[in-house]
Amino acid sequence: MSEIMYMINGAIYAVFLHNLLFSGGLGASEMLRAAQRNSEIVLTSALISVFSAVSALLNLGVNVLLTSQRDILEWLSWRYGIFSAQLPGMQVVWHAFIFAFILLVLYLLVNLVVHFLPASKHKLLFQKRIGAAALNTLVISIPLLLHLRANTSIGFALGMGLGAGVAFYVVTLLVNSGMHVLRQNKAIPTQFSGVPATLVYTGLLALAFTGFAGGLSLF
Amino acid sequence: MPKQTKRVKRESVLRGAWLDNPMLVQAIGLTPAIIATTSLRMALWFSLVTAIHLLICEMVASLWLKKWHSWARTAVYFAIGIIFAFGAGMLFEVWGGVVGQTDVVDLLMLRAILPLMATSSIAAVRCERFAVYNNLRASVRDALVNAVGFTAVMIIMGLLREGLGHGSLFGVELTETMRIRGFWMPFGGFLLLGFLAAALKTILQWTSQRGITTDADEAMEFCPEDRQERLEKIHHLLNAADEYEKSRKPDDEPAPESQQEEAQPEAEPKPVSVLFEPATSNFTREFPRLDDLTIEQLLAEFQGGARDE
Repeated sequence: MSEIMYMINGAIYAVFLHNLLFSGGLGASEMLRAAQRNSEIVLTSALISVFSAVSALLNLGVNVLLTSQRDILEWLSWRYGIFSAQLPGMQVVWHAFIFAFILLVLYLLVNLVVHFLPASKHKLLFQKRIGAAALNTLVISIPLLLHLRANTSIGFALGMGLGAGVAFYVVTLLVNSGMHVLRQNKAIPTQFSGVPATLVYTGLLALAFTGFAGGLSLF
Repeated sequence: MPKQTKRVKRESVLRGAWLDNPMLVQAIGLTPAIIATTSLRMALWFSLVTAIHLLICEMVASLWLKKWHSWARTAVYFAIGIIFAFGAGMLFEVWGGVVGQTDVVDLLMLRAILPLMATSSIAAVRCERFAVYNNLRASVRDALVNAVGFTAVMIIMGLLREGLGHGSLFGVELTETMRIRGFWMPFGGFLLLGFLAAALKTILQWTSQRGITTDADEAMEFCPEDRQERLEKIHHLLNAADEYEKSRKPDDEPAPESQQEEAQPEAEPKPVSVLFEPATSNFTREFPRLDDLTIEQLLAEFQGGARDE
C-alpha cells in the first residue's frame, strides 16, 4: 500500500510539484516540436512514459546495487579517474554515465524489436517517434533526479517515470492549444508573432506552474 | 578567392548564426538555455562543450553515417554525447579538485546538468537536417555557425540572468539590492528567450527592409519542420540531378555559357537574398508558401524558381 502512495507521490512530483518541463525546461525543444502536430502528442507522451518508467526502474536497481557495492565505483574511479580519491563527485559522473548507457541499450533493444515487425504505417510512425521520445533530456533526467534525491522507492520511481510522460502530455497540449490561438491572433505585434510569442506563452505557463508549486525550481 | 565567393560565405555564416539561429529561430537546444544560464561562467562552459560535441557529431554524420538508418544514427549521436558528457564531467571534477572550492556551486550544477548534454537536441537535429545530406566541409561550417549562434544566445542569457537575478557577474557581486529572482527561475529563462527572439526578429525586419537579409516574418514562422524536411529532401534530389547531368556531359564538348560567363570579370553583385546556397538555408523567402501545396506542386514551383534565378 505504501508503494502505491509513493507512486502517486512520484507522479504528483513530476506533473505538478516539479513539472519537469516548466521547472527545469527539460525536453522543452521536443515539447515545442511535438506541439506542432496534434496527431503525435499522445504517442510521444506514451512513449516518454514507457521509456522513463522502465529506465527509472532499471536504473534504480543499478543504483541500489552500485551504492551497496561502493568498492566497484571506487575501483572504477581509481582505475579511470585521475585524483579521483579526492573527488567524491566522480561517483555522480559514473552514475550518470551508467544511466545514460542503460537508456541507450533500452533504445536500441526497442528499435531492434520494431525493426523486425511487419511493415505498416504504424511501424513507420513508431520508428519516427521512438528516437525523439527515448533520447531527450526529460527521460534521462528521471534517473538522475532519483539519484540526486537518494530515492530508493520502486513506487516513487515508477510514479515519477509515468508522471514524466503525463507532464509532457499536459504541457504539450497546453502549448499546442496556445499556439493555435496565437496563430489566429492578429493583434500580436509582428515582432512577437511565431517563435517569440510561443516562448513567452510557454514562460507564462511555467510561471503559473511555478507559482502553483510554491516558487520551487528544479535545479 | 573571388570577392563574390567570399561575400557569399560571409553572408551564409551571418545567416546561420542570425537568421537560422538554433535557439531563437529553430527552437532547438532550449534546455541548456533554461538550466545552464543561471551563471555566465556555466553558460560559457556549457557552450564550449556543446560546440565541440556538435562539431564532432556533424563530422561523424557527414563522413560515415549517410547510409545508416535514421534510428541507428540517432543512437550514434547519443553514444557520442554520453562519451563527451562523461569526459567533460571528469575534466570538470579534476579541475574542481585543482582549483579548490571557489567554483563549487557552478561545479555542483555542472555535475547535475552535463549528463543531460548527451541528449542534446541541437546535435541530433543539425546532423539529421544538414550533415547527412552534405559533405564534410559544409558540415563543419554548419556546426561552427550553429555553435556561434548557440554561444551568443547562451552568453546574453548568462549575462542577463546572473546580472539581474543574482546581482553578480562571474561570481563577483555587483549589487546587493538589485536582485530580480524571476530571471534566475526557469520561467524567467523562457520569457527571456521569447524577448530575445522578438529582439532578433526586430533586427532582422530592420535589416530585411534595407535588403541586407531576407524577410524575418517568413523565417520565424513557427511550424517549419515539415516544410523544412520536405525542402531539404528536394534540395538533395535537385543537387543529385544536377550532378548526374554534369557527369553525362562529354569532355570534348565546348564550355557551357555559364562557365564562359564565370571567366569574365566580376559580374554585378546579386542581391544578398539570392546568394545563399539552397542546401544551407532553412527558411529562405524565395520559396512559396507551402502549406497548401503537394510535393509535386512544390517541386514544380521550386524548379521554376531555380530556373528564374
